[in-house]
Amino acid sequence: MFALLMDGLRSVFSLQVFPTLFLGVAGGIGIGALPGLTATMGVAVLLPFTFGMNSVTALSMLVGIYIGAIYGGSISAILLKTPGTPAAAATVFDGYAMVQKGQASKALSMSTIASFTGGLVSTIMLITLSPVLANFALRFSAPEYFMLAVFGLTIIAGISGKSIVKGFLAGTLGLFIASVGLDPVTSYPRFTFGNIDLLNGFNIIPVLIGLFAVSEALVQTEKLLSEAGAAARITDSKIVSLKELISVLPTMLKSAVLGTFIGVIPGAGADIAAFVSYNEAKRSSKKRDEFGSGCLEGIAAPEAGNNGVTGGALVPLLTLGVPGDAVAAILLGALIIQGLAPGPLLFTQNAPVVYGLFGAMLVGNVLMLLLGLLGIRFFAKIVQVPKLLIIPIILVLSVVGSYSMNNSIFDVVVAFAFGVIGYVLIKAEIPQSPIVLALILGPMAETNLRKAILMYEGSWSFLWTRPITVAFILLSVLSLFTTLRMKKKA
Amino acid sequence: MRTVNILAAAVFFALSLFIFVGTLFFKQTLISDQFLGAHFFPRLVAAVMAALSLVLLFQQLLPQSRSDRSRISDIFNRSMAKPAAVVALFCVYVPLLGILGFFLSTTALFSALLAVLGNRRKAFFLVGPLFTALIEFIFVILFRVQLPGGIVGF
Repeated sequence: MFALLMDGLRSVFSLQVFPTLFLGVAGGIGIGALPGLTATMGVAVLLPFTFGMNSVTALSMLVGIYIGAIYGGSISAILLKTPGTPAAAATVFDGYAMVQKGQASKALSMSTIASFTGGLVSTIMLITLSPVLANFALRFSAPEYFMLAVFGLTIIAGISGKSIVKGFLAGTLGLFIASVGLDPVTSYPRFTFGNIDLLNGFNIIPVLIGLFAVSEALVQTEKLLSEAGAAARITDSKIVSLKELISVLPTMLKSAVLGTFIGVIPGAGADIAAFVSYNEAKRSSKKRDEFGSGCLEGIAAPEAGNNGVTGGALVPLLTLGVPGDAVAAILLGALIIQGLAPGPLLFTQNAPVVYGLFGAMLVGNVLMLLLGLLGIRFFAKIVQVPKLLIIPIILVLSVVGSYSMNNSIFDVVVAFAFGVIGYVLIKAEIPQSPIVLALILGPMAETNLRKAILMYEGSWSFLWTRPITVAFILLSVLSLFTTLRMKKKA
Repeated sequence: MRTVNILAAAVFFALSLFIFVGTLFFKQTLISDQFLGAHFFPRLVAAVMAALSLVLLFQQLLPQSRSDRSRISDIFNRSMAKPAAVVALFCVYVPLLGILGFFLSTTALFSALLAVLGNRRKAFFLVGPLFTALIEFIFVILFRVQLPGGIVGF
């Protein structure tokens, strides 16, 4: 295996592959940083450009975009409170808080290094543990998916701010929003009021943009009155120190492993991994009270978690031919276009391509680290733009971001409606993040709960008769219990 | 915050009633005899929402919350005029987006927002068309992502 990996790395450093990988990573960072352009969209849009390339070059470019875009989403999440991709939603909490404290460079460097760690650990796990991880993922059925979603929803307790009740109320609002549109099991239109645009339900991107970006722009508009003008925020150029890095290393490694495991499970993507990692880091941290107010662990965990998915999502794709997430599904298409059949035989019949891909992932993560660190001074300048200009810029980016997913003006309306809702919620001290979390996990919870009950002919016994569901119940109780205890102490 | 919390509890309770009543009008499906039709999940959500809003209301009746003398006007007041003006601008902008296209309508919106926010520096008004053109270039030319064309086509 080591010799094959060396051959793979050699092919990545060839004149044909390396420039394409570099372009892929750099382009991916740009795509991810722009609200509305997701990793999936980036890989899909640039897929046709790979048709004329050989297999290793094509796959290197696509995974480069994937790695870069998942990281890039954190840049706008940290600087503008506008997550470039849903995967960066959890990075907003502490990233933006650090920017407000004048530590934009430190926040950006933390996110870059955590993303690199997440990507690197997951790639190493992909290379070494693929068959074992794929077998684990195969044991997931409807009851396990339902309990994974429930476990994810317990995170609400941790991100609720002052009042857990208000947090869970916001969560139920998110679940209601998730239930709008065609019923996933019977296709019956729910709460659509005859509106065709609502048949597919609310698209996550406009809701995310509305709740985080538009609402923040409205809050800043209100603050402009009291702050008397257009003063730019001050930011220092200090990046994260070695001492700080060492202190968050365990969190990064744990989140990277968590992200990889979540990535392996088909259907559970980088957004879920980021939230789960954030909650786990908060639950187990000694500085848990500092989460949400701008702490490094709060950036390291979701970023290592979401980039951990990049390797994890490829495990079922390469070993079983089952894509772990939407990007992996496009990569499946790319493999087929290249005349390759994903599955166990891929490793024996097309080993140079597989190990070339592994090599591209390793080098791609290093490129992401270098580009990210070199770009910090440039990215951080955004914070120094006067607020008077930042507010219209955020609002225009919100329009483009919400429109471009489906070319729909309705989505722009949705973003602004949720912007107003988010603004009112901020005023009433009701957290917005549980809405997003519930919107992401709601469809997964509903579909799999109903499937599980049907599987067990109306019985709920799947909750206590399946080992993985029992493990998730225990984890959920533990997560809730520790959060409640923590809040009581605070 | 006590009064706001009571109001929030009332709003969420009303929403839960709305969700529950809404599900009464769902047509029954073949699997409805196992309570697993389209109404199953929204009703579950409505029940949890109603219960949580009652808990929030109950919390406000506890002695430690009663000392809170804050009023709704402490939070929702005149300072919301500018955000309201921004929202009003968007109510005009969205219909114009389809008619005038992205470039013209967004340039106008950018300038209008600067005016509403109280900008007095003329140079800032140049940022609108430049930024909009940059966005148009990145999305339409570089990534071939469509933006509303309107009557002028861009």
